[in-house]
Amino acid sequence: MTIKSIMAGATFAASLSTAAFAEDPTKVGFIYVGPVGDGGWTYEHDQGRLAVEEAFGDAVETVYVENVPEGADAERVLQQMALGGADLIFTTSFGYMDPTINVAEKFPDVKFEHATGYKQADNVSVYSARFYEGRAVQGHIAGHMTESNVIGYIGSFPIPEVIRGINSAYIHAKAVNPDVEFKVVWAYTWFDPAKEAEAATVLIEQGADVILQHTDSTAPQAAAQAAGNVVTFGQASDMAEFGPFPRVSSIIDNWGPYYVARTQAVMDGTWESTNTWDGIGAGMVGIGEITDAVPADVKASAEALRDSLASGEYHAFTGPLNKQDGTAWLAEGETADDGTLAGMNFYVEGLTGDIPQ
Amino acid sequence: MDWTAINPILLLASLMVAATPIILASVGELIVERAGVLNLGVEGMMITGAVCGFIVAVNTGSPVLGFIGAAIGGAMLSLLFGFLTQFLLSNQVATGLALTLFGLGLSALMGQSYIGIKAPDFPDWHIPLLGDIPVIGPIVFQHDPMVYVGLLLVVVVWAFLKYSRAGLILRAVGENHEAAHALGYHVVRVRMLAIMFGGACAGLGGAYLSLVRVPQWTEGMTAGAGWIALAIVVFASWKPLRLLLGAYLFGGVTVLQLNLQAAGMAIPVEYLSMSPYLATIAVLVIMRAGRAPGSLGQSFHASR
Amino acid sequence: MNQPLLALSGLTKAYPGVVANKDVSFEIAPGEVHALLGENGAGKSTLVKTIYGLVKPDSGTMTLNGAPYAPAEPRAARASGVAMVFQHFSLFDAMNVAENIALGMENPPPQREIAERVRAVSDQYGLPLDPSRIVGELSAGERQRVEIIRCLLQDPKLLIMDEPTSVLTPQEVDILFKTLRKLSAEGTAILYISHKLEEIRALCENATVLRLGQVVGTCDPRETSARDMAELMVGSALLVPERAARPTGETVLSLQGLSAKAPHRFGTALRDISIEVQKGEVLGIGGVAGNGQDELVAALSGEMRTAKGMVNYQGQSISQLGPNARRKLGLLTAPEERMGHAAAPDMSLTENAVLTATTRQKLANKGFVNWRKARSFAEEVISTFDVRTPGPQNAARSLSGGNLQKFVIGREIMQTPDVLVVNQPTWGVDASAAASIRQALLDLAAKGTAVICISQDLDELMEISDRFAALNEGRLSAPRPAQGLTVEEIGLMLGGAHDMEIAHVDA
Repeated sequence: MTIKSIMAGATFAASLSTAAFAEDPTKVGFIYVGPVGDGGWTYEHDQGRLAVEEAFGDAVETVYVENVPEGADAERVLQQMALGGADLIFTTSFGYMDPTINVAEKFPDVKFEHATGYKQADNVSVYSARFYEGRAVQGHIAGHMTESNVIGYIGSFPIPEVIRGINSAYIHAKAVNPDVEFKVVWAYTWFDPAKEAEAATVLIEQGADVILQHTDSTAPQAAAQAAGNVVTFGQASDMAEFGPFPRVSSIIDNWGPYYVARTQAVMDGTWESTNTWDGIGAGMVGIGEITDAVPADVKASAEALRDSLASGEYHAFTGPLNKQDGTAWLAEGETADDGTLAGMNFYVEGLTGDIPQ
Repeated sequence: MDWTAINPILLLASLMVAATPIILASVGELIVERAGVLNLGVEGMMITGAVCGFIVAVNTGSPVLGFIGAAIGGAMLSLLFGFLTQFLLSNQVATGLALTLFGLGLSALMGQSYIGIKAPDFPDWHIPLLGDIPVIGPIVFQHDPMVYVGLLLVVVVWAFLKYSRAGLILRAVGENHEAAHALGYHVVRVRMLAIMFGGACAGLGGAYLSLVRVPQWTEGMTAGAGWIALAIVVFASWKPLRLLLGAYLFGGVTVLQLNLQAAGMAIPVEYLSMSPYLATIAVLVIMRAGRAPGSLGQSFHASR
Repeated sequence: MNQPLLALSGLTKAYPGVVANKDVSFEIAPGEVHALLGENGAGKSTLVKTIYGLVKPDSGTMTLNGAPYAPAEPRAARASGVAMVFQHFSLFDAMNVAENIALGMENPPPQREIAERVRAVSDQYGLPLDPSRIVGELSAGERQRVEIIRCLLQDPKLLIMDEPTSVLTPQEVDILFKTLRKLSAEGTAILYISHKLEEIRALCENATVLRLGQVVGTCDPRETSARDMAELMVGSALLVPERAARPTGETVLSLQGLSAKAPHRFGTALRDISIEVQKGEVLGIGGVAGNGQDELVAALSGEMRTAKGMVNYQGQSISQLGPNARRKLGLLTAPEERMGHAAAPDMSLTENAVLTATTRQKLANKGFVNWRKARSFAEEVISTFDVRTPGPQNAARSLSGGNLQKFVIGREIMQTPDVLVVNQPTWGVDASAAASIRQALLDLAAKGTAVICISQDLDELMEISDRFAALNEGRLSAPRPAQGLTVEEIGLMLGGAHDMEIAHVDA
């Protein structure tokens, strides 16, 4: 981390003024929804930024603004960044979708890359990782590990990205443990350690002995550790400091290769608007080390699942699957198409509760 | 839905824990505002306390020293605010907001090498005899000491304002600083002490997050708790006991709504999520809004 | 003569640019009621603040009972037996009477004991007061009682009173004087500051007159005429406003059943006010502060809207019109509070002129201010009303109270209103400036303008009014011709003594 984090806004402004270097390096901007020190989602994006700096050295200049609220503020920050001469801007949260599209319209020469959204434009690419593949592996392990058969799930916001993860984890937990039950709590925040800890504690008090989280801080890990006998998984980042127990594995976002490739494309003038959705196979999603707290046979079967997802021989959403209300969704052997997954707004059969609308 | 999934004892017990950081921060701000100073930097002082407390606790291995360090850290930051607003007569609102930004940045800088480290254990007190009472024992008498420090602080502040001469002078300074000066009281001195007390309390509240509730250091971990504390002071009409009610209500409904969600309550989650804010505002507003201290937010200079 | 209680010798205090006190010396004997006279800015406030320990003199000495006396702060002064009742009360609205009293004492006993002593003292001096009441809800007279009792509880040897009667009805003044005479008889010396010369003549045995920070004379007020004392204060002959007899014309403004709720918690509701105002007359409205003056001004100026038909201008209801619309019609208002209400303190006089005169003087064209015209209008006000300032570019804040008052009143008069409402036009203004403001109001009326003058200064109202009405708890009494009204009649119109009682003579 750099000194920039002291006053992201102020130094950002300062870095704008020093932008006009003689050799004019390619300028790459990032806006983050949390602090780079969150140990999760934003931390991994910032690792991607550092990978870009390392790959190109003086040929690039990167700037970032952290803790940007989703909404009007994001639009303002984006606009400043574009005015400041950025050539390529990564907007790294779902809620930046409309601000990105709006600002991209005004700056046709600047390239934008929006993470986890679905709105594309001539100068806006979208990219995302198939986290649900990682969720499948987590669900598999969780189904084996639970003794109470209650698995707690901390959701952030009810968006397709999060719902896909819940469905995928549930399907694969159910596959190995038919009695498993999911309790979902929506925290309505990506990052609020106190609230996340609270949610984890509540789930544990209500009998969950495995906690899956789709929020960004490590607070639920700490809560599980305090409870003693609760299994967790690292989210977005490895969170290895909580291993080998309670954190038994993790999903790791690995944005570096993608960021480097896209920066290269801008330098070469070959950048085009694309829709990238890569998973374990392409390396955008990593499965963190499965610790020895997991029995060897479970570990082996989990790794087999991971490998089959990576090779593409198995799809995490393979029929037969019904929707929550019992209507048929996927027939035997049928796999879900990307369009449905991208806009997923329903639970699969067996999950209880409603998705907030 | 499954009511049996909710254990009322655990619910009430976690309510007390959830409310503690807000109680600590808001009781400090209450004193500051009763002295006529509006310090909007609670969030910044909280997070500075969180990181100071964490650093001290990790390095000494003692959570108690951590809390002391947090109180000192928060008070130091508030001194900056006090110097700017009381001696240089800067605008209190702007200075408070700047203090929050500064505190967030400063804490991120200080905490860089402490991300991902575990805090030393701060065990719960199992108070003998009282802790063994069924139902009430686990709810009230099996918490970490800071929960009781928070409660005690509210009672002490209440008694201080109501019964002590120093409390009377503090209220007088906040009510009408010109008159207090005319009677020979030291407005700026009283206010500086109040500001430091507020800073120390906010620091304790922040450290409670980083040492007990979460417990670890993460950038930006207060996530708006300081603003909630500020709001509760206003909604509690600057009265300590009402503040306690507000904080418990807020903490309680926060915990309750998560419990209801987990238990599969059929109420839309959006309503549950906004319920802590709505419930707190509704109750405290219904209890008749009080009057703000007369000189709140105004700069004082003896020559005027 | 006995040893003096307090002796001042050569007190000098200078502030940057102004000498507030220069070589001031005089003595006060035990039990003496001593008047301190002077215009605004003569240095009276600085002098009493020095005695009370709020200001440190640059040079000079004080002795109290023969011992050197140099209080470092008010606490020290109180400990030595010096107490003070402030002009603008040093009270805390949100606290109760007992708490307010405790704050003014050095080692206050517990609240319960204070309450008992308050009852005892208030009974002894005929100043009834409930110790548990919240001060913000008290009338001005009651608030003053709080201040006085706070002083009396400390058995002061010297009681300083700064303009104590400005907020009292004549009956309340009588009671206050009885209390003060009783105190004096018991041996307490009183330093009495006022510019109401008749009061001083009735109460004081000695007077020291200050002008520009210096003692310019002493006299026995009981044997000196008010006019002589005034000339001593001002340093020149005083002009008494001339009043030309004039016929009154048709009705321009009529209030019909004007009622309005109190705009805030410590405000007053207006109750069924009906009156008609004719062209060319001066209607004086008296009343103790806080009886609806501010609310009445707001209802007249348009700051507070009222129900249709309550405020009528030349037969049309203007109840719903805002201030600018009313200005356009010819109804102008000069509110009481100069700083912040009548004028924006940090803006220049030109800008302040623009604020109210744009509509009538056409200082703006299509939304753009014509600054040249605005400046010449401000200059005109300054020269016509003898406002002492280097020029219209100066901030309103830089003017002394009297000068700014002349400016804000002059600003409205220069706009040739058909109806002019003024509230406390000479409050805190020195005698000569006050006289010129009053003269200007009379001249305006002579030209046919209807002037409504709201004031707490009864002498002023008697001097300029054709008719007099009193505001009491939001109600307006029926107007009576001013000529021939006695002080007692006025007092009763103002609501009598507000349940004060006269000191028990036997106590």
